[in-house]
Formats: sequence, structure tokens, C-alpha cells
Amino acid sequence: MAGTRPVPLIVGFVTALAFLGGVGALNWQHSVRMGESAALVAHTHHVQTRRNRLLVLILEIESKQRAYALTGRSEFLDKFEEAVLRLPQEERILGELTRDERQKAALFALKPLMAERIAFARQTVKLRQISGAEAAARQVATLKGKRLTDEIRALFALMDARGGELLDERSAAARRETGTTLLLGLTGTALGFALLIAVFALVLRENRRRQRAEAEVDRFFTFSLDMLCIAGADGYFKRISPAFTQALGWSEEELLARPFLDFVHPDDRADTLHVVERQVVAGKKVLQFENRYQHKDGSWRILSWKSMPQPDGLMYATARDVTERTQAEKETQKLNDELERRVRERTAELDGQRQHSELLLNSIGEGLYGLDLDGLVTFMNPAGAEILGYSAAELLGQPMHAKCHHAYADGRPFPREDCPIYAAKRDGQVHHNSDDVMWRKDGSAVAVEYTSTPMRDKEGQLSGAIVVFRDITVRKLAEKALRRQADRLRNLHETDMSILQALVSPEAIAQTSLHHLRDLLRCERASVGLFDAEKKQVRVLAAEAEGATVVQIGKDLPEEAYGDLEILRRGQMEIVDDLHGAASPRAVSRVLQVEGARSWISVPLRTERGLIGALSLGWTARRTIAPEDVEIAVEVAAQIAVALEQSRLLQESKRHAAELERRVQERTRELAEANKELEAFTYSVSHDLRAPLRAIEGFSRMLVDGYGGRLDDEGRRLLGVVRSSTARMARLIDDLLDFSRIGRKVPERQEVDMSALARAAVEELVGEKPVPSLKVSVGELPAAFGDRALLRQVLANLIGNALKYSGKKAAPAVEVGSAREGGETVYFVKDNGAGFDMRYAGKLFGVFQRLHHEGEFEGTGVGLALADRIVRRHGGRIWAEGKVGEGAVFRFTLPDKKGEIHERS
Amino acid sequence: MNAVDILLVEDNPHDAELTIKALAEKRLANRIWHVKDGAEALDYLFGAPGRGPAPAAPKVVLLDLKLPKVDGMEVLAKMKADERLKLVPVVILTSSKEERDLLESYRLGVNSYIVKPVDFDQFAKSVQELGLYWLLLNEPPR
Repeated sequence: MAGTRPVPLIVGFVTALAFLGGVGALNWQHSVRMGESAALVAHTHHVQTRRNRLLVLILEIESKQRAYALTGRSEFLDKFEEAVLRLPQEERILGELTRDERQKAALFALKPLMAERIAFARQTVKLRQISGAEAAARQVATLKGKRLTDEIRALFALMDARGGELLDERSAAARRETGTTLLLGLTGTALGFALLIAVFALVLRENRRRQRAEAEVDRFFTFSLDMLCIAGADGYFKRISPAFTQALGWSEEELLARPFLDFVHPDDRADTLHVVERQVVAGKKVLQFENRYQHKDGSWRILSWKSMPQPDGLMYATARDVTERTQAEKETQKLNDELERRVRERTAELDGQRQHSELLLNSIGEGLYGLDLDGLVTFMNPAGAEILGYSAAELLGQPMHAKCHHAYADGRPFPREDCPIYAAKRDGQVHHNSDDVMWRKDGSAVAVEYTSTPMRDKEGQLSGAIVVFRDITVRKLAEKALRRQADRLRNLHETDMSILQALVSPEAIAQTSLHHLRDLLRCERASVGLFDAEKKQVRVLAAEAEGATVVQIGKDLPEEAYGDLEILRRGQMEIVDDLHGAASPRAVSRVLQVEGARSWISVPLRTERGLIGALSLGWTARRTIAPEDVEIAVEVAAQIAVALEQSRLLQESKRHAAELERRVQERTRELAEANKELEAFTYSVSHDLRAPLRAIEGFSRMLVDGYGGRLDDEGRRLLGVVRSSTARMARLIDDLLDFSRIGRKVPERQEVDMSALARAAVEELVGEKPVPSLKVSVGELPAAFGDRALLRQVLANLIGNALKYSGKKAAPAVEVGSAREGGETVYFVKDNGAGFDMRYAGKLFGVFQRLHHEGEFEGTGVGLALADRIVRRHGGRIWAEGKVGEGAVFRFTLPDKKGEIHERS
Repeated sequence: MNAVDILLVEDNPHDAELTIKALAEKRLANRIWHVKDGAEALDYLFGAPGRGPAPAAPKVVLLDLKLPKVDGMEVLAKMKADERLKLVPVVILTSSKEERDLLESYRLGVNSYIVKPVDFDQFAKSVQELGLYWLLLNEPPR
């Protein structure tokens, strides 16, 4: 549409332009010519003017010359000279301006006349100057001047006439030109207008049509379900159709505001950019391109693009949202793939099954053959042929029953009519036999299990049978072995249980084992004997025999009765398959033979202590003793040995326990006695030791009271020593008794207010002998858990000590307090007294251990030992730090309520 | 045998002498009867076979615990089990500080339990005070 329409419009437009141009050119040409004509007219006028001026100048010259000649006044002469000077210039100008030939000729003729006239004038002037007015007047009166002037005038008149002629000519030409130009201009203009109007009309029409077309395009743009857009090479959309907004959720403004790549999925940007570049740079069309655009909701829409690059760098593109379609395609693809996969699988499966069937037939270990209605072999698989010792070819077409199934296992003939294999093809039933034989090519029988399945043709008529069979020789052997094994195990198990439960005596266990053993090994005689190394005898522990024998339970027999001890000691057994054939019959052999035994074995019973006995088995019939028989015998022997050992250990441990029990009782009794003695001792110390002391004290006191006056000072001092020693002895006894009492006492457990206890102790101790300078402080002590009386004793002892050892200081200070250390409460009693050397810290808490002399500080050396004993009996710790002359700190801990010391964390 | 104020049961002659001396200082020893073991004490209190009936009960018995033949605890038990004698105040005067003895004595109904101090002054003071108390201050039931 746009390609065809502009042609007539442009043609019309160009025609109009050309026409107007032509008219203009013509007009211009005429205007130029008109200008030229006008110029010529003007020139003519100009030349005339100049001519007039020249003529006037000539007349001026004449008039001034005449005036001078008449008057002689110099002013005329000056004017005359001036005019003469101007003349050549005027003359030259006129000459240059004049182009008309005829005028030029006249001008040429004028030249000598003018020269002559001027010469005459000068002559006249000279005459006036030289000869005066008269001569001059005469000169003038000659009329020569006048003639010359007339001639000059005539020439001018000629030239003027010609000028007038030229003017007329040129004016007429100018007028003509003007007329033509005007005509041409008017006509051209009129025609131009007409054309313009026509073109304008065309343009209007075209414009309307274009607008309609645009509106149509717009409508397409707006209502197109495809997304339409114009994009610039700058990467921005220039215009987009509303379908974009619908498809992507963004508003038009939003889409235009950002480069379109912003909306493209990051993974698709490179491709998109590449495609855009190819369009913009190479101008290639894009027919199929897909990328993902982001929907405002964050999802990605797949857009399929077609785009047409334009030379102006814009891209006109359409896009279609193919997200659903793509997904649907994907789904379809997936379904297709799945279907294909299943088809492949199924195919493979079927293939496999076919191969499988073939493989089954050819490679299964079971025999497989087919029979026709006559009982002839139709096919035989390799395994079947191998079981029967034939080749498959040898059996094909052969009557199977006659060939391989003709007799029972015991050799009786197997009538064909009774054959269950053949029965299948007659009665249409499946026949199975799990214990039968078939006969091999070499004539041996092979134990088999078989299933015969009838075969039918398409009409359902019986057509033969398929037989599957299996060599069960190994299985039958295994079954037999298994049964034996089970018997063995049962026997062992029963023995084990008896041992474990220790319910029965070893004799009973041995007896039971023998019984089982006889069952298993089918021996007529079995016994267990225990050796007595000292007596060189063997005692029969258990025995079971058929017929008369010397081997009776509880009987002592010579050691040899159970075989060669040396062999047995080495852990080996004696095995005699046939006693009759023994090279050098021993006593035992003879006895056994006499009692009817033929085969015999003796198995050692061994424990950690070595050989303890033997198990003896005998058979009346000759027997090749098999390794399995030996194994069983060894097992049972081991069992019996274990049972015996177990029983022995049990007895021993019972004896041990009883012994221990006895010892414990004895020890307990001893301790109880010792304790009682100790109690009696302390009791008697408490009573009896003090009585004499009291007597010494009392009587020496009476001595002082009654006889003091008769003693001198030394005598009284000696009595004083007696008394003070007595007092000290009494104190020692008291302390010692306290100490021993605490050792026997179990501390009570109750909450004890340690603060109150400490304050009471301080009060009691300080109250006895108050010292003004003494400072005692008792802090808040956490409650403890223990025996109130005993803890009071601890505090009293420690505080008493502190007071005692600080008593000699100028300002004694005692502090009772507590601190939390490592999760436990540490109580302390601190003083600034004499202190002690840390080297002897270990001795502080020993009974009667003192670090100071009696003379320095009195004391028995029991107080701290007592405190230590009490704290430790509570489960706490006590320790001390000190420095000589500076004081000491005693610290102790007590367990918490649960009666445990806090763990140090 | 006249009725006595104090029956002193004490095997140790020195202790007995000291006790009597202490009481004497306060003039409390006028009517004191000293026996040297538990058996003698029982004989005195309950009467010995073949020696006639027992004299009138003493006002107070000072009883040592550790005695030959029959110990103090047994004497105490017998007294407190006896209708006539159970009202007689018994003061245990002993060297034993054993808690066992203390508890047992009180369980049997002893009226006082005095531990004999070694120091004579204290001992004398204790004995004098208990003599004063039981003989002069205490008002026995009639």
C-alpha cells in the first residue's frame, strides 16, 4: 500500500514543481531583460544629463571669457580657468558613457571644435590682458566665437536628437519586456497555483488514507494476541502491544522504562544479545527464537520471537507466549519417552524371556524331556542326558520307561502300566514322585525326584508329557547326615543343659550321655572310668552294657581296663576295629573278648588338669570304626569331661565359699571380742586410772592444807609439781577417752547452725578468762550437716587453740569465718598467734603430736587429732597453714546434706 | 543399826576417804554408812539372810558404778524395782563419763549423775553440794 500510492502524488508534485520552475525561469529571464531595457533607458537619460553638463560647461567658458573681456574682472577669469580645467574630465566621462556609434561620431567631431573654441577664448582673454578691453571687444566682435559656439551647439543638438531617438527606442523595448514578463508571471503563477491545489488535494486524500491505514495497524497492534513490539538498538522497547502487558504482567511504562534484557532470564541473556546483535549489525531476520521473560509475579514465561530488523536500527518483532505450549510439549515428550522406554523394556523383557526359556532348557541342572503318546522321547535336555549317562541323541525316539525306568530301587521290575510318568499322558494329571530311581546307561541307579506334566495340542487333546527330573543322591545323603547330626546335637544339647543347670550329679550326666551314645553308635557296651593316680586304679563312674560284664558302676578296676594310659595321656585314643586280630593281646583285650566284644575304642577324658578318665565303647560285631563314630565319641567324652570339671569346680567353689564364710565369722568374732576388750579397757581406764589420780591430788592437797606450814618452799614446790602433774594426767586421760569415744561413735546427721555453735564456743572459751585486748570475730557461717556435739567439739578445739596460741600477742585476734571454694564451703579459724613451721604441718593432726613445748603452751596434743578425726568421720577434710610468729589458719570442709563432699569443679 | 542419812557405796578407800572428808567439812558426815561393794550395799538395803531385817532406808545413796561383786548399775536397778526403796534418791558418783553409763543410769531412774573430778577442790565442792541438796534442801515424800 505504502509502496504504490506515493507515485502519482510524487509525479503530480514534481510536475507542479517543474512547471513552477519553468515559469519562474521564464519570468526571471524576462525580468532580466526588462531590467536590461530599463537600464538602457536609464543610461540614455544619464548620457543626456552628462551631455547637458558638458554643453553648459562650454557655455560657461564662453560666458566667462566674454564677461572677462568686457569687464576685465579677475573673478570671471578665475571661473573661466576653473571651467576650462573641468572640461577634459567631463568630456572623458561622456566619451566613456557614450556607446551609440552615431553619438560617438558626433562626439569625435566635437573635440576639435571645443579645442578651437577654448583656444579662441584664451586668445580673447590674452588680448584683454595685454591689449585691453577694446582689443578684446574687437576680438569678440569678430563673431568667430559665436560661430564656433553655434557649431558646437549644432553638434549637441545632433547628439540630443539621437539621444531622444535611442530613448524612445529603448523605452518602447522596456515597455514590451515588462508586458511580456507580467503576462508570463501571471500565467505561470496561476498555473502553479492550480497545480499546487491539485497536489494538495492529492496529499490530503493520501493523508486520510494513511491515517485510516495507521488506525487499522494500530488496531492490529492493540488487539493482536501475539505480542508486537518495536525495539531499538539501544536495548529498549520503543513500543509494545498491550498483549505484552497481559502476558508478562508488567505495565507498558514498566516495560519501556528498562532495557528489555532486564526482563530476560539470566541464562538466556547471552543468546538474546547475540540474536539482537545479529539483527542490528548484520540486518538478519529472526524467524524462530525462544527465550524466557520474567513475569511480574516472578515466574518465567517462554516467548517465541520473530523479528525483522530495519535499516534505521529498529527491530520489529512479534512474540508469542509458548510457556504452556512448551510445557505441554515437554509433557508430551516425557510421555513419549516413557512410552518408548516401556516399549524398549518390554521388548527386552520378551527377548530375555525367550532367551531365558532356551537357557532354561539347555542349562538348568534339572533334567527335562518330552514324551509322545507312545512314551517315546521327543527331546531331552543336556542336563537330563548327563544325569542318565547317555547323550541326548541316544535317547531321542527311545521308549523312556524301558530304557531308564524299568525297575524299582530294590530291583523289582517296574511295570509300565504303573509308571506315573506315563500316567500323565494318559490321564491328563500332573504326577510327582520325590523318591524314586532311574537307571543309568552303566546300569547303576540314580535317586531322582520327578514331575510329569501332560501336554496338549491346540485342540486340547493329550499329545504327550513333559518330565522334569532331578538327581537327588546328594540330597538324600545330606538328609541322612542331617538326621544323624540332629541326633548328635540333641544329645549334646541335653548333656549341655544338664551341665548348665547342674541339676544332676556328674554320674547322672555321664550315664545319660552313655545312653544316648549307645543309641547313636549302636554299641553294646559303654562306660566311663575315672583314674586314681595314687591307687593306680580306675573307678567306674557310669556304665551301660548288654550281657554280663565286670564293668559295674562304682567298681574299682585296674588302670589298664581303659587302655594304654600313655596313649590316653597324649590325648590320643585307642581304636581297635577287631580285637581278634590284635597282634599281642593285652589283658584288657582278653577280658573284652571274653565278655563278647569285638571292636573297641577308648577315648581320653581330659581337662586343664590333664587326663582324668576315659570313655570306653565296645561292639560285639566287628566294625570298621568310622571317623564320624570317633567324632561323636570325642564330643561326648569332651562333654563328660566338662561336666566332671564343672562339677569339681562347683564343689570347690562351694568349699571356698564355706571356708570364706567361716573365716569371716571368725574374724567378725575376733573383732567383736577386740572391740569388747577395747571398750572394757577404756571403761576401766576411765574408772580406775582416775581414782589413783584423784587420791594423789586429794591427799597432796590435804598435805598442803594440813601440813603446808611445816614444809619449806622447796617442799611446797615439789608438792605443787605433784599436783599439776596429776591435773595434766587427768586431762590426758579425759582427752584420750574423748578421742577413743569418737572413734567408736557414728556421727548423727542433722542440720547444724554453725554460727550459733561458733558463737557459743567463743563465749564459753573467752568467758573463762576475758582479755581486754582480745578481738574475736565470728562471721556468718553456712549451716552444716552433721553431729552437733561433735562439730561443737571441732569448733571449740580450733577456737581454743587459736585463743591459746594468740594469747601472748599484744593484740590477739581470732577470726571464725567461711568461704565458698570450688563448690564447697570451707570453714576456717584464723589467729595471729605463734603460728607454726609449715614443715611440720603434717604432724599437726597426730595424737599427742605437739609443735610447742609444754612450757610455752599447755596442751595434751589431742585437740587437733580429735578435730581431724571428727571432720574425717563426717566425710570432710581439715588442713592448716601457718607461719612462725605470724599466725595460723585452720580450715575444714563438711559434706552437704546428701552426705557427700562437693566435687571440685 | 541406826538409820543413816547417807549410804556411801565405794570400793576405793581413798575415794571413800575423800568423799567422807568433804562431807565432814560441811558437817554432813555424821550419819554416813560406807560399804565397799554392791553386794554389801544390797545386804544393807534389802537385809542379808540370817542378819535380820534391813534397817530403815537411807535419805540418799551415793553409788559408785564400778564395784566388785555386784556393780552399781545392778544395785540401782534393784533399788528402783523395789517398792520401798524406789523413792530413795540415788546419786551416781563415778569416774565414768561413758554415755552408755549415763543413759543406762537415767533409764533406771537415777536421781543424779556426778562425774568425780580429779581436782580435789572441785571434787569436794561437788560432794558437798550434793550432800547439802539431798539431805537438807530436798523434801522427800512421806
